[in-house]
Amino acid sequence: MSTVRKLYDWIVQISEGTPPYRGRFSLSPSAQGREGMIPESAEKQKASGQPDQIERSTSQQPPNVQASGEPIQSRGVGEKNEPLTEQLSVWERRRAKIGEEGVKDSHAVGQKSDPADDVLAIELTEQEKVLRGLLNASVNMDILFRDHFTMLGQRVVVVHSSVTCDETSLQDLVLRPLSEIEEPLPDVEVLARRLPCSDFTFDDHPSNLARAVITGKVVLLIGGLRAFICSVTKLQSRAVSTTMNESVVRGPQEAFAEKMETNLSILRRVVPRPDLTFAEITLQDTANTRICVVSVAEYANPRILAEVNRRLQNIGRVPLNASGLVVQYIEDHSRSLFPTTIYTERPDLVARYLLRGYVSLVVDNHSQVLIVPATLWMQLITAEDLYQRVWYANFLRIIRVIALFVAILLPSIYIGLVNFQHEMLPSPLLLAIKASRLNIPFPTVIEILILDIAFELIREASIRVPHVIGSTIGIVGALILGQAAVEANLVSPTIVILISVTGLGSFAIPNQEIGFAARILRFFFTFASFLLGFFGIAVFLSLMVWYLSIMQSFGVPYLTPITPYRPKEEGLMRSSVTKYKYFPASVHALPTKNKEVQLSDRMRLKPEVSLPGTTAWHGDSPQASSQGSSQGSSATTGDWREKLPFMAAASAGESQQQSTVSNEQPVSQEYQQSSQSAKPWRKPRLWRKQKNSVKG
Amino acid sequence: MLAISMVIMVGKILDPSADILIHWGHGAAYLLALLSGAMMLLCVLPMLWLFRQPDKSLFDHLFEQFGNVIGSIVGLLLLLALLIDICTTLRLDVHQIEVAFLPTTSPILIVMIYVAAMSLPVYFGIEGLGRSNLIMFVLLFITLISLLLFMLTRAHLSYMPPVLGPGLPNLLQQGVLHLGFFAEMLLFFIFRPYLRTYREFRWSFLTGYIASVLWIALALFVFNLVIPYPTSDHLMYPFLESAKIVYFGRFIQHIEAVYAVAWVASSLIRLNIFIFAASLLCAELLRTANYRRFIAVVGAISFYGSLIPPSIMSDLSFKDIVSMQRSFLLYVSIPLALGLVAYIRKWRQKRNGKTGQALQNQA
Repeated sequence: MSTVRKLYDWIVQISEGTPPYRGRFSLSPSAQGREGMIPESAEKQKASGQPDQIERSTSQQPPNVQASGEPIQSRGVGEKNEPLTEQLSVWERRRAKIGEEGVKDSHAVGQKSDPADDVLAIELTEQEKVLRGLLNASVNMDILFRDHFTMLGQRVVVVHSSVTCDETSLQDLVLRPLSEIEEPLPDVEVLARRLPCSDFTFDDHPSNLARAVITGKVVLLIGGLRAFICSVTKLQSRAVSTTMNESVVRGPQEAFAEKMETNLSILRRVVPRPDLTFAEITLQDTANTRICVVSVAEYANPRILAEVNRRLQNIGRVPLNASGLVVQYIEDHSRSLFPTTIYTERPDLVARYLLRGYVSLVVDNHSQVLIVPATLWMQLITAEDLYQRVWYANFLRIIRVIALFVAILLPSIYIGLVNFQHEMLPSPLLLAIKASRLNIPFPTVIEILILDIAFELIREASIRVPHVIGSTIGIVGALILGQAAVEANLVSPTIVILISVTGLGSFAIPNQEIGFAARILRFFFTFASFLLGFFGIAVFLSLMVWYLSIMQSFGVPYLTPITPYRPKEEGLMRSSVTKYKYFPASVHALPTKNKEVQLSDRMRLKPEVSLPGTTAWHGDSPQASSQGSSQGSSATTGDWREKLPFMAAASAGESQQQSTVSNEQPVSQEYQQSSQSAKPWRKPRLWRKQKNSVKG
Repeated sequence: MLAISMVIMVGKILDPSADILIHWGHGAAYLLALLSGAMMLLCVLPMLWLFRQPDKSLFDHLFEQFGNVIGSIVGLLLLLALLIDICTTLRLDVHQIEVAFLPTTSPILIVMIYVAAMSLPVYFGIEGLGRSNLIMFVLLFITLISLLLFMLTRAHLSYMPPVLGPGLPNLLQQGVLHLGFFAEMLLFFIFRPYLRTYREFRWSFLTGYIASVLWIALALFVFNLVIPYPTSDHLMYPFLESAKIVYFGRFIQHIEAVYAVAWVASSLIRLNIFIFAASLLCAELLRTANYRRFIAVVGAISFYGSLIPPSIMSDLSFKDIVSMQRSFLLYVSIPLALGLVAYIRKWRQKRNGKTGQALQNQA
């Protein structure tokens, strides 16, 4: 009776339960029950207009600090499984980001202000506050602000990064002498005379001070016009180790190590940006594993960041050492064959993705760094691709795709041809194949399975044995075993060739996890072809494509940018470096302030939302752009963003936004008309009108 | 949505239902396709303006304009037509699969596999279907374009005359009778709530539909150039027969199975969308938001319905006579009546509004 009841419940569940596919930033079907869900109280809170608890916990304080109130984690089965937050507009995200940094004045990272404003305040408290904001000190685990006092009790704020500074030098050259100073310090020049530093400078720009800190220097604030900068840099570099699994011919050869601080130091060196943020989380596993969530605040999407933090927080208690298991706890489809994250040991690859808005996870005692979100095409890309000429890179990528198909489909196609579609083979070839199989007692599928399993055994054995005899096993497997199997009439020579090519195909796939998926799928396709021939392959292939289509990684569809189609994003083919003008819209990275990308990604603010400075955010008005760029400090500081046209427009928009925010101007009527009348994928008419008038 | 509409429409040319146009259009099957397509478009255009409202599908408009009783009757008729179409299409596809891949396998097994592969993706919603549809759309067009290019090497202009086939009056008459060949376009109006703006909807609908009709006409034209009329009327599987004649020396020949693999993939996604639409229609008829509870039922109906026709000839005849010739009034009258009733209602509301305003002014 209970079985019938269970069956009934199951039928009701599948027909009436929550839809298995959920939209962007929602829980994946396979993650159901493992991850935290929003408690109803949080939803009520959200409905009443108060900020989301999760958002608060991830945006305003370090992720390991639990927000007060109800716990986020709730594993009730019957609870609602709604998307986390509604889609934020660009303006809201921007506001949230500035909120994250804790500074709402003009010194916030990414806000280009007038150079005159970018001067250090005189008061020590104000100096500290500005620098804390610039360095995301509330979130960044490596940025340390320490108060020290001289013998006379004068307060000195020492700012440095724990992963890029040499602690011994800091002690010897700064901290100990500082505590022994017996005279008042009216300015930094007096301080410099009292400290035994040889490599020091003074600076009065907060942004320069922030850069100095992240490049391994120590900044001393005592109030006054300038700050003291002393070099005690110790960045981890090449001495660490070379790559073992992702070796390249061109490009850097260094790899991450097991120690988290070492890896963070490498990242600080490779991504020398003040807004590179390290947020530490300690898991509740047996080893209290530490994880660092790495992102570039300027580019990373706060929603993806929030989702990563939420999933990490909701891992909960683990009766294992979770060092190498983090990915399995947080990935979208943990039961899927296809990986939805990328593990890499290469700092340059991590840096590349960080600077395109992705998020990384550095796990302590683990030499590989996780990158999220990850699409299928990202799994077929190697670090070397960008260092190659575009033709070479694309050629290799096509080869890898062919390798993937060969690794999955070749045996099944052979079975289909030999067993079902004889007419496709020319008669001499068919006769040759049949002749070679005359003395074989097994059907084709058994032949293939024998060799396939033997191949997998050889592969596994060669990995496990010491390297000295690993090559011997390869030779034994390839030459002796294959030859012996053919001579013993266990398999035909055609099958040996076939499985060898299939094996080569699986070796050519750069990502090990996709390689595993291909190896397992190969067996499924082999059986499908054995039972139904090409029809089985077609049905199975269709279902596989559909399955890949519904997969997502941290809210990004797995087959992006092929489907959903985003032609400006890097997918299977690499474009020329001069075409790298757009940040991936699928990640919704912050530089999508760019109007065109917003339009293509449907992120544009609706005109009826009359937020202050809306006009300027989109940079719709050419005057606004020109005015903004003339006002902006980025031109004077030689910011690299100015070199990219869309970033220039974005900076211009930011500058203009500052002015419009203060004036609280409503959205212009002309803009509203143009936005309402223009097609979403076209430029607003305002642009076209003014272009025409210029031409005329 | 453009890809969905094109896969739904253009996919028809790859299954045996293209025989209907070839049979009635003789050597001018492409003209018959153009005429039928144009007439169906003309019938549908009067109700296009109704779909400015973003959240209303065809059924919502039927209920709104015709009332609950008439609306549900008309909706039921459309659902029935769709179910018949699913069953006949499924059976035609299974016939083609039998010929291409599994001549000795029981059709029941193939139908069972097909229905399972059709129903499972529908359960996960339109997002996954739409995305996989985009890939299949590319696959379908690569298949079609390459096939047409290969076939052109065997084309003879002498196969063309008579250019008007059975004659213009006959073509016009058959064009009207067979406008049901393109009746799947009504599915597009069911999917309206999935599109954001009316502009997008109108653009993708018109572009997708016109492009599909042109593609079908082009394919029939090339087919006619390669296989002349009386012979082509005797071929049950025009797509497979066309693929058979592709020849590149001794090694690449008889590659119809390769083409058929691509066709099966696109055909599956096409039937997925049919099942999705049928489940959605059931849900809308019963005024419920959850379409998933109907998937199994629609799948079962498709399974049993597709086993009814004993042979491909009876299936084609049924499709031709019942789904097209005897149902064309349904496809013509529903859009026209809907558009007309909606327009009259709007006009009356406007007039009442004006009269009310005038009375207020007088008062």
